[in-house]
Amino acid sequence: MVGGGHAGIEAVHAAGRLGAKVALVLPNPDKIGVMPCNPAIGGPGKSQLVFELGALGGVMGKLADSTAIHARTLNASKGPAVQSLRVQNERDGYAAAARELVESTPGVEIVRGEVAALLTEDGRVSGCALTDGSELLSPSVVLCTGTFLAGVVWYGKMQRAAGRQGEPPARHLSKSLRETGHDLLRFKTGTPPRIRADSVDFDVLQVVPADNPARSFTGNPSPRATESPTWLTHTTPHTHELIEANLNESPMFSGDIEGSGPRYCPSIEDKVVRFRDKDRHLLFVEPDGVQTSEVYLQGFSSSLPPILQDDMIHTLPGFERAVIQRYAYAVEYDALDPTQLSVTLMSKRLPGLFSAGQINGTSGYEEAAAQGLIAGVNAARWAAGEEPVYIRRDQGYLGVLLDDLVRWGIDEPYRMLTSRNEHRLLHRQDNAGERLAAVGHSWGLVDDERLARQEASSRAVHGEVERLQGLRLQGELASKVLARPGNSYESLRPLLGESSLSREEGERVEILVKYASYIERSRRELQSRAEYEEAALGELDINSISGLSNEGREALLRERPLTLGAAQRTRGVRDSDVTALLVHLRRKRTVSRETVAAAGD
Amino acid sequence: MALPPTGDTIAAISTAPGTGAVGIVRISGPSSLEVADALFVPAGGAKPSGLPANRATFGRIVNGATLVDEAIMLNFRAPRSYTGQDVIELQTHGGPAVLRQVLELAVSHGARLAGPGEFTLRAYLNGRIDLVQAESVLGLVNAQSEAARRQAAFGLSRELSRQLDDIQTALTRVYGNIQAVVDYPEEGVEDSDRIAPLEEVIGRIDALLATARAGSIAVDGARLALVGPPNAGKSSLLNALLGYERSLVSDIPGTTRDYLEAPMNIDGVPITAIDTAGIRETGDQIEASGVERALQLAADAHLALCLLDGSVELSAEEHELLSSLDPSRTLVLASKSDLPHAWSELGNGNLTYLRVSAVTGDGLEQLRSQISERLTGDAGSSELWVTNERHARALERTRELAGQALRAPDDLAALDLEEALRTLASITGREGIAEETLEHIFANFCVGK
Repeated sequence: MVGGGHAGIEAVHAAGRLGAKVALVLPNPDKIGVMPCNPAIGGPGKSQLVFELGALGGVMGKLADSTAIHARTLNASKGPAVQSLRVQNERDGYAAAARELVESTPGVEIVRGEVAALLTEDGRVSGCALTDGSELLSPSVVLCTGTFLAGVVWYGKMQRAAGRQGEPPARHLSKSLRETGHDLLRFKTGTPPRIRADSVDFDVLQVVPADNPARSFTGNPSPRATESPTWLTHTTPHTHELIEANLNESPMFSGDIEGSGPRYCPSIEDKVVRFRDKDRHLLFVEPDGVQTSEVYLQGFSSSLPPILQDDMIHTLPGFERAVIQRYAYAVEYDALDPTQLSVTLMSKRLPGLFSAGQINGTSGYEEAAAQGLIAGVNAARWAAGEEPVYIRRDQGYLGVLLDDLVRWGIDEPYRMLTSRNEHRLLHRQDNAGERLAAVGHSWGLVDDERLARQEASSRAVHGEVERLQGLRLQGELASKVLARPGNSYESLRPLLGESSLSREEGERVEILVKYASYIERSRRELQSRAEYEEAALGELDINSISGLSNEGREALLRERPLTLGAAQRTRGVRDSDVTALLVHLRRKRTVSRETVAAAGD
Repeated sequence: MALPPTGDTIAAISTAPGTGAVGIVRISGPSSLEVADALFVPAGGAKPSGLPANRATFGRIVNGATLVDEAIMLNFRAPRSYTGQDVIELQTHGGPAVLRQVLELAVSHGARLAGPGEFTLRAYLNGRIDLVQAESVLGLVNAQSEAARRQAAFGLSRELSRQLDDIQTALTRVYGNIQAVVDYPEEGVEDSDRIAPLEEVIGRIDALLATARAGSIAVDGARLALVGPPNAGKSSLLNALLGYERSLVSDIPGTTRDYLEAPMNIDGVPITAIDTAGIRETGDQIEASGVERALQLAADAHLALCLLDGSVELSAEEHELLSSLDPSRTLVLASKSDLPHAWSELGNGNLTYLRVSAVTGDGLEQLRSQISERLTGDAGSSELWVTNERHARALERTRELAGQALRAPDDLAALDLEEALRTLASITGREGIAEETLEHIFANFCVGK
């Protein structure tokens, strides 16, 4: 395992739990589990990933809960599918907890060093050579190198080779990846400035309090999870003038940085230029601990020179005298084109090589951790000679993430969003355990007792839904009363008689009752897609099928999708092409209802 | 039933059966040019496959060494043809024997006889036309009236598709905004109002749906029932409207025992006028069943003309008849306006009446325009009418979903809008249309289209 970030932690932990012998290679063990961007876990799409990880036996939710200083449900009024937990963490505490977890995982040894090259034998990976000349031999290698591959950090037009602020990059791995037949992408991302907390005038900032009682990923919130607020400030016309006047100082705008940046996480320069009609942009001020020493200015990432950043910060309400402790910077790095991976996150070019996180072109701790778990499990299984596993797109966000990455490919850093998931009403954070605990159990990451607890909870929730459909409250069905706008399970609890459900279970009952018709519709939709999804294209002679558009035919020949569902998601394939394929399949009676037992390719 | 294969080469006679000045055999598919090479000898000597595309070429159709006919060959190359495939059209002399022989030749050289609508199916599957346009081709072929032809032409020109595109754009904008708001709760995405744009969409769909009755009448025609007591002059009025003698007219009450149907046309709308037996309490058995039948026909008709003798007082029976008719689908007429008026009140506030005379033609123009207004007036000023039941059903569902999305929480509203967009797209067939729907549509085509 190469790298101890959020992907690496899950990979190491999962492989260790499955009984593999793991060497975790990284230059500095003190950096395990650092949060180089904001000190927070969760948010729309991301919290669902963390809940799914928890259900499968991952650790991110546990780490986040144990070090939480603030937790809040975002989108609380926007419906059950998009309600998303976000937890602010004590930055140093999180890293310490992560390191402790890694060190206490059985079979894990930490090796200080930098990888010089991948070792191969008979077309498979056989370990890696370190820059100190030593070699680590293993049937599986997992790369979780984050932004370190040929990393270059930019402050204004000043640049230096670095994987993260102050840390040397991975200088050799890109070459080794190319030599083993891999294509690399060049991406960039950025981070906002950190400001000394005692230089901020918090009194003028708008307070955003934590939810009380506390929310959590595991049902086990830290007692401190309600202790700290976050705050809001905003840019001013003066900020915008400063930025507009100095755009030529930005390496992004002058074209010095060639890497593709994420559109959904734009720098403040991007926002000012792209939305000239807006005279202010919201900024979230996030603490990095209860006794916070510095704050993170969410929404203010920048690649303008440090000297200018000082002036920009001073235009923000509450930051007139603020002192920047660490300046905003942009980082450029190499990533693997993820279409070279199978859905199990093993390289198609070099069997035994796995990768997870930013090296696969994603952005975000949660996306990294989710891949880390899959890569870790499959690396261990590969080493043990077992069949690989993955999560299907119709099973959850993790499946959407894997499918999007390896089938569609990406041209900018990929962030999970609820809108990427066509089944988001079925893939809620509240039912992640019900959806995936049995899968985690079958992989060996969830023990019998936890699975039994999960199953008992699911039974209790569905039993209660059924009970409410028969119970009458003053002549009216309890389920009807609960479904009425404004009513909640908690508010009706005194009227409902004996119930041993927890608050979260009560909320699940409420969702299942209130949104029953929509949930049913989504389920039917999922089933009807499943027919498409699973219809095997097999060895179709694409050239013999008429009714295909020329562009569609080329795309099908190029991408060779295995199923009709994959064909539908192939770039260049039109809906009329899918219809033509369907017609062809039906005629040939080759539509198979069996799931394609596909390990990707 | 399954859709026919689309990868082979098909041929059909594309002109109407019977003898005409010109007849066309159309061939489409990957071997069109090979078929043409085998049966057509251009006057210039080259082979058809050696000729440039989109060219009309004079030459001879031959069966081996035997001349079949002289013909003009039109030669279109994929994808720039009606079907998106290589297409050959042979314009021959129009006799059935010639055409049959050319078709048989094409088949003997490897083409397959085309089934109904196969050319248009290929055009749709190859993205040359959308489904509304494909249906409009069928509509044009089958048009029995000017109104039906006009609506099919609107469909073919994408007039309806364009309106659906506008609705789709509006829904997509609302949908996109919801997605942005839920995925970026902290990035200051403005939670823009979705009520106003959705209500506008609903208004537009309602306006389209309001034309559905007129649209279905344009295609299938309207049934116009003439009811009223014996000898009120129903048959005379019918003859006056038709402009020729259709009913048996006599002075003996109850002459029209059962009913007569006569086709007519008002403002381009096809109408079947039904002259019913005189409605009257009667002991005569044959006539009694006719009366029952007449009331039933009036109830089933799009519009009933209730004709009462204006020159004699209204009887109790006539008052009873007036109360048994649906005012929204009835026009009351006082006949014999050339004679002195015996009454001026119907005694029913929901009904008004028009004076007409089959003898002088008085009131007939007004009657025609009122019939037209009652049959197609719902369409308002809209020139475009929804003529297709499938379209109307999809629009109704889209409207229902847009209505739900008005009030649902954002994530559920997004689900409603997704389905609304899919439903809307199913009209033009740009997305996920069930194969059964396609089969149904293309099964209704005539061969050669």
